[in-house]
Order: sequence, then C-alpha cells, then structure tokens
Amino acid sequence: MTGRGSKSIPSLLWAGAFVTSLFLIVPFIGLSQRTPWSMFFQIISEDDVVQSITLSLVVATSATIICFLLGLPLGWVLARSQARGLKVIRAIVLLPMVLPPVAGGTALLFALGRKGFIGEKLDSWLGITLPFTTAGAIVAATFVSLPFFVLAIETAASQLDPQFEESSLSLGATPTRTFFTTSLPMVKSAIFAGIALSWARALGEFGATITFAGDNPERTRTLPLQLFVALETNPERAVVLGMLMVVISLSVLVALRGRWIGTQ
Amino acid sequence: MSTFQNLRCFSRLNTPLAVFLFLSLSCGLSENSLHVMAASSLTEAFEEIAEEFKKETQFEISLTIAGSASLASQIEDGAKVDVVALADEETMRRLVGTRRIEQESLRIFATNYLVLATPLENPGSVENIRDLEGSVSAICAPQVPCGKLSFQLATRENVDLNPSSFEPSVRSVRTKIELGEVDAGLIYITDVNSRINFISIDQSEQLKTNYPIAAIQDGRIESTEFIEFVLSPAGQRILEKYGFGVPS
Repeated sequence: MTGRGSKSIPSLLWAGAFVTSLFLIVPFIGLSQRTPWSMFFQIISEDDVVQSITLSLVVATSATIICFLLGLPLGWVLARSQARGLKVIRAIVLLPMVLPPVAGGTALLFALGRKGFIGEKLDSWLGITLPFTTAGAIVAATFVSLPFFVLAIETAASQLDPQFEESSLSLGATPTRTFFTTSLPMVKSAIFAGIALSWARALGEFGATITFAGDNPERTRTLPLQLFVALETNPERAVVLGMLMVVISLSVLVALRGRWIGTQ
Repeated sequence: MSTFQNLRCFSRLNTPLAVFLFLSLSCGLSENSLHVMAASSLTEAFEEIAEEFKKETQFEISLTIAGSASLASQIEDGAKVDVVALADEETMRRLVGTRRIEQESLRIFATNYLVLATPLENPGSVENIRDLEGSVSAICAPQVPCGKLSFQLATRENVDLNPSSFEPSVRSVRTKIELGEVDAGLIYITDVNSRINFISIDQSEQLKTNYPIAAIQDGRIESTEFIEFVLSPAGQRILEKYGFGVPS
C-alpha cells in the first residue's frame, strides 16, 4: 500500500517533507554525536541508572495499563455519544497534551497532594499519600499520557462502520456482548497504537512528575529525572541517558506503531 | 530555562515577524543593555538592583534567573551573557576553570545561611534540625548550592538526611513547605516569607555560603560598572533588605 498515489505528490511537497524530516532528525544527530559510546554500557549499568530504568519501566507500564482501563470507556463514549456536555469533556481530555506538564503537576498537587481537596481525604481517611511515592509518579504519568490513548480510541471508534454492530444487535446480542465480540476486535490496531503512544509519553514524563511526585532516588527518580540530575553534575552521563531514552522510545514506537498503524 | 538568550537570534531574521517578536519580547537587545544571570535565591534582590541601576545609569538589565548549576552549564556552553552571580563559590570555581570568567572582576558580594522551615501550623511538630530525621521533608538536591550546604550542615549536626524529595532549587523546597506537602525543609534565611514558619539553627551562620559575582570574558565593559554597583552601599542595602549578609 506504500506506493499508493506516490506519483502524484508534487515535488514541492517532497521538498517540504524533506526539510521537516531534517528538522526532526537533526537534534538526534547532535545527541548521538556527543554520546560517549565507549562509556555507554558502563554508564547504563551503574546501580542508580539501573534503578531508574526499572522504575521508569514500572511507572510507564502501570500508567499505560491505567490509561487502557480509563481511556477505553471515555474514548468510546466520546466517539459514539451525542450527549450534551461531551464537548467540554472532549476539550478537557486534550488539556494534559497541550498544558506544560509542570502546570499539570501543580494541578495534581492541589487536588491530590497532602493538602489537596481530595488528597486530604485520602490521607485522613485511608492513610494514602501520593506525593513522593511511586504511586504518585504513576498518577502523574497517567495524567499526561491519557489523552494519547483516548484520542486513538476515539478516532478509531468514530470511523467504525456501525453496520456490523447493528447486525450483531439485530441477531439478539446485548450491547455489552456486541461491544466485546464485534466492536472491540475491530479497533485492535488503534488500541495497540494508543498503548505505544501513551507508554512512550509516560516513559518520557518529567515536569508533572517532579512537581507532583518530587525527586526521591528510590521511589520517583525515573530516567528523565535522573537525566535532569546528571545534566547539572555530569553532562556526559546526561547525554548517555538521553540517548538511552531515544533508543527505548524509538524501538517501542517503531515496533508497535509501525506494525499496528502501518498495516491498516 | 535556557531559551531566553536564544531569543536574540530573532534579530538576524529581519522580517516583520521577527521585528514584531523582537519588540514584543524586548529581549534586551538595545544598545543600553546588560545581560545578567543570577541564582534563583537572588530573584527579588536583583530585580530591585536592576531597577536602581537603570535609574542611575540608564542601563537596562536583562535578568536570567535559574539554579546556579544550570546557569554555570549554560555559560560553559557559550551562552551570551555579561555578568554572572551565583550562590556558591564552588560553582564559580568550575566556571573560572573554563576560562570564560574575567578572573580579576571576581568578587564576593553577599552571604547567606540556612534555617529550618515548616508549614505555619507545623503539623510534624518539628522543633530542631534533628527532627528532620523522622519527618516528611524536602531538601535541595546535592548538586545545587543550597543542597551542598544542607548536607554540610547535616554532617556537622550529625543528622542523617533522608528527604522525601530532592528539589531542584531552594524555591521549590519552600513551595513544598508552603503547600504543606512536607513537614519540614532547609531553606536560606533570605527565602523565608510570611507563609511559612522558620526555626533558626544554632551556629548556622558559621556555615554560610558566599555569593560570587563576575564579568564574563568579551562581555560589555559596563559589566564592571554593574558589579561595582552591587558592591556599593546602595547595592548592599538592597541585598540586606532581602536578608543577605554583608561579606566580611
């Protein structure tokens, strides 16, 4: 399918696409040029880096699972329902995507922090405090990556041909059964794309995490926070960590996104 | 953090858009302007000093405020700047080592020391620095000057710091205290405000940090004039007003 209509692309667009690609690629060339490759494996196997990598994987994966559980229903309702008030929700869903993450982290602090209007109850009733815990880092990562998952589902669900669902319903299946056996399998690729995007976003999360969950070496210092620390003390290490994040994110995006979106 | 000085490149574009951006951002490109980088704890004091300096000399100061470590990295990376004021001498020594500093312009212009701070209602009943051990606390990260000083102080007092969070600047430690997210933290005396409660630490003044200021090589000649102003009675009065100590 890749060659579809490729002859009709004006050369002007080719030129534009080329410049855009360069713009996106150049920073990574800069990064890889400065990477002390001979020390790469030595640095990424240092104890605190390994700890950050593990923590990042735990946080990003947990956040993605929560995104899936929370984002699937919302994305679906947004795509299918005409209910009033959804317009506002649609705009709010996008907020974490466009807001500076620091602002998101501050908002989380006011809501779920120890003195936040919900956080206070969590603390006094259940003894749960989120700031400075891994759970807090997961909440921050979920907050910023949720829009990616919701959007993927919403887009796919709104493009679905309702004819299949209608025939399933007319054959006597309940809406719930129809959703799980007919609708959901048809948006499988969107689900995987959503997972890839939200996982990669969660992995790179920095601003909301440091604002809401703080920087605790054992509990919240994920790779981006480790990179931030290194930037001020050991730039070489920062470059290696940056490169490591590029490698991880790129492989996830290429493996999942390329596979599930490209073959549609 | 590092984008402000990059705005200067707009001047080369010479298109109406660039002119508009240039005017609306007024990023200190005019003839009579000096680019000064200052550590975050100096924010208010340097804003006032800049204002007074302008009154006296008609020279506009464009201030870039950030943590000392970030400022030093930016200067090492070649940031275009005329004067730099940091919150500790060690970071300045690092810069002197890179030869970007006019060494003969280097002066100590202020001092500062740490106090223990808690939220107003002091929910953790923190009374002295030893109480930091068992409480939810925030401390400056060891790579920024206030963090280095915090650890020196803790070592001297035999306190084992185990903070819930290492914050990137003294201001974010204060914010976490103000918001009640932590029960205690160490901040500079100059960062104390009415929204937090502070407790002096015995002999903390002995472990003070010195604030160095210096001109950057190939900067404007007026840099010296600004440094002199900071060291002048007028400049020192402003610094004292914000709680800074006078260098001995």
